[in-house]
Amino acid sequence: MVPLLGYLTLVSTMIVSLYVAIMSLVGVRLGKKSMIASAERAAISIGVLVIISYSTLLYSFLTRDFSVKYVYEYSNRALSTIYTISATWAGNNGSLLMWATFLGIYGAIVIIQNQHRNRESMPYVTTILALIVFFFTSLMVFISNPFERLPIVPADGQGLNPMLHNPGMYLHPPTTYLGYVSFAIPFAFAMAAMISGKLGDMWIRTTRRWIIWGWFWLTVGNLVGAWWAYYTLGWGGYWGWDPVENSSFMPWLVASAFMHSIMIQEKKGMLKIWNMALVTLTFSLTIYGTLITRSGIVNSVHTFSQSGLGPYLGVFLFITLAFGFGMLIYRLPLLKSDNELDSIISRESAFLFNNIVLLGMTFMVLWGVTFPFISEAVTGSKITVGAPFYNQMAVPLGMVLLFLMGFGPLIAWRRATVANLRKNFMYPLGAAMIAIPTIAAIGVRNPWVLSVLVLCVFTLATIIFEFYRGTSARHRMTGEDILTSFTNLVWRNKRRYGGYIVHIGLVMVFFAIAGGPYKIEKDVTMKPGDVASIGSYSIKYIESKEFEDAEKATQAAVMTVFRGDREIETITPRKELYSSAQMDQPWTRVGVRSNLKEDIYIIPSGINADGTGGFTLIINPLMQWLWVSGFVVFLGTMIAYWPDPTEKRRLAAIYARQEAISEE
Amino acid sequence: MARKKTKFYVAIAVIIGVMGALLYFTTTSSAVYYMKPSELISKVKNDKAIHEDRVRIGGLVVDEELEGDNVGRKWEFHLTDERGDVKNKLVMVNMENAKKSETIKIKYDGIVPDTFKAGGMAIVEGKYNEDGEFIADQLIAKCPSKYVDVKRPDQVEEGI
Repeated sequence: MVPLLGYLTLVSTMIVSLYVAIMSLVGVRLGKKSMIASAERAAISIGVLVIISYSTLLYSFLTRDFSVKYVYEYSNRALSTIYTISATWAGNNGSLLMWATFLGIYGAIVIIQNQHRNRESMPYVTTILALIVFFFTSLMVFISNPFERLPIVPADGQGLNPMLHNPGMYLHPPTTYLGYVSFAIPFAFAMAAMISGKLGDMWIRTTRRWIIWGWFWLTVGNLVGAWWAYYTLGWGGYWGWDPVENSSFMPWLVASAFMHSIMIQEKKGMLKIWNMALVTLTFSLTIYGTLITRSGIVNSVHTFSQSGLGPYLGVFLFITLAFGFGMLIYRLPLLKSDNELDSIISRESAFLFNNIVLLGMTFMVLWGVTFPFISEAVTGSKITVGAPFYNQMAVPLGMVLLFLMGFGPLIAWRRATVANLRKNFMYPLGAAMIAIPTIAAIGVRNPWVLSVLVLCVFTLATIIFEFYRGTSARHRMTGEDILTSFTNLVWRNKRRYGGYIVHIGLVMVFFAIAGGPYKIEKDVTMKPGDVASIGSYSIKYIESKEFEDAEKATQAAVMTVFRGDREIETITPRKELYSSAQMDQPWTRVGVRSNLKEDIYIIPSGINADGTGGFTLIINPLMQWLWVSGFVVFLGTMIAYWPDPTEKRRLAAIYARQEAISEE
Repeated sequence: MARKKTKFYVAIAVIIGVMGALLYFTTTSSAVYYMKPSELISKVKNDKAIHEDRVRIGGLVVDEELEGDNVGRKWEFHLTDERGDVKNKLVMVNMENAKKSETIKIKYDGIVPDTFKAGGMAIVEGKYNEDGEFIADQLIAKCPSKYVDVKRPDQVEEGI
């Protein structure tokens, strides 16, 4: 019953979305407000329908309804509640439903938000969002049905792959999808602006918070993915430049570029064409990412394999790109800049430079991912590039970005003079100069690491300097005490200072990555009683333990970390053998001891019955800073995202004018 | 001013040129051929020089003559071409039904990930040594069909 309800709501969503798309489009062309209103009501109902559909899937999983094929394939009776819930998005069909559900909800919210605004563009926004929902629901109704039934009801399910029994499973996919799907909104608004010819800034002002929301969740999704790889997959690293990782990294890069270039359009009326191209590119990359993970085109440890969806997603991607760039070319005359670039040394050009580097990096990642197909098509043999390719290109480009993060905020708009260059950069450059010998003295001799660390100091110094200058200026002007000045400074310029805090978080990411070249890795064979040394630590293998519970049998190696004579911590890397039918190999669980300086990371590659085992001992310097950065980025994003009364008033005035004009 | 615009375009050209050069050098220094076992075998027949190059081989792990453990960290196994009948019906590939022209013996020094097993897919990277043995130093593996019920051959392969 319930799965049938789920399927019917899915079919309804498909039909209603087609209705919405047609009604909204015809309504706006014929000028019939009643049709547009009907379409909008129906679009809001889609938000409800998708929630019902997803809820029925959840219900089927939680009630162990193995008559549903998807429930049978991804869960079993022994599965705990949290992982049963996560199993709903473990496979292709359910994750498509999650995509559609988020989009349906987002669409409903967007329509409600804009009930009295952007009335000339909204019908097109509605049509485009509805068409995207129609596409995804059709894929499910006709090909990848989450509610497909089995002819006989199995007694138990196949269970969830034990590799997914960890927090990464319930944190990573939802956060990444929250981000991915968000970019449909600015895309729809941008296209609507081009169709309706209303090519001012409204589409940017309206979707600004959607863009920040999307960027934020993409950042979290990528970070959680890295965290998952590090702690659960346990190969000692956190990023492998796997095609699926890349497919969530590329939209992030382009979204980051986009966030900056829209600031230029808002302030200077420049880069209008560029922004239209970027928004299409960002959304297309999210579709491309969806394509890669499901079509079997690419070999990856992450892919859901051949599902038959490849060609359809490919066509959809093509249509999206063709439509986006086609409209852009058609509207080229209306997208002329209001201003010109005055000087190469200016904030505008720093932003433009940032965009070029970010897009360059995106292109190179795309190059690495598609090179095997291109080389096969051209030369007949498949040539791949691996992690070294990506690392070699990411490092110099990353360093340029790190520098720009510090340089950009301090450089003047339009044209920087020697005088203001000197005034703004004296202290940060001074800090960087002092940093060079200091960091070298601590023992850092690797030129790349030294450069990155010095750049971190430089950029951090520019940001701190900005806070200092703003606070002291305010303090002098208003007489408020320092703390009040600081708080008011930030709170009255939430976008700017929130952005700076996000930059601090990103500096921490570079800081964490800089530890990489100093990673120490050592393969050892140990039996209980042995001591191995790595870095300044000695690791003593105390004993091996075996124990069992309902889910799994564990073989653990208890190890204590010492520094000299001082006992630091006991960690327990182990192998777990799950009892579910399809699991016949043990899973590796690493043991980690972390502090802000470095991680001690032990991988048990194999443990024999007598306790003798092969272990990989690793020291990962500065690793924890990667996770700390997530919190700082969160704080900065919250501040930038927070509603602002001044902005609200200004926007309300613009909307009121809009409405007055359309009433005439 | 025309001069300002020229300066601007030159700057953009320089940046793109530098990135292009970066792309060229990183590609050529890290590009590695990716082949199925049968492709490598036929290439070796035609061109002895392939022995010099590092190569990546992707294929199925044969369900026999697989030796090694993660404690001693020495592995020996055979890789053979992926095959349709294996994908759809989970027929195990052993030394009898694996074609000689599609199968290569691999010697690997290192750790295999948890997903490595007979019947599963593995990608190794390495090169031939002077004795004609393929020595791999990198290995990644993908789970075999976990969700195919042997009694229901119509099910489509899925894997993680």
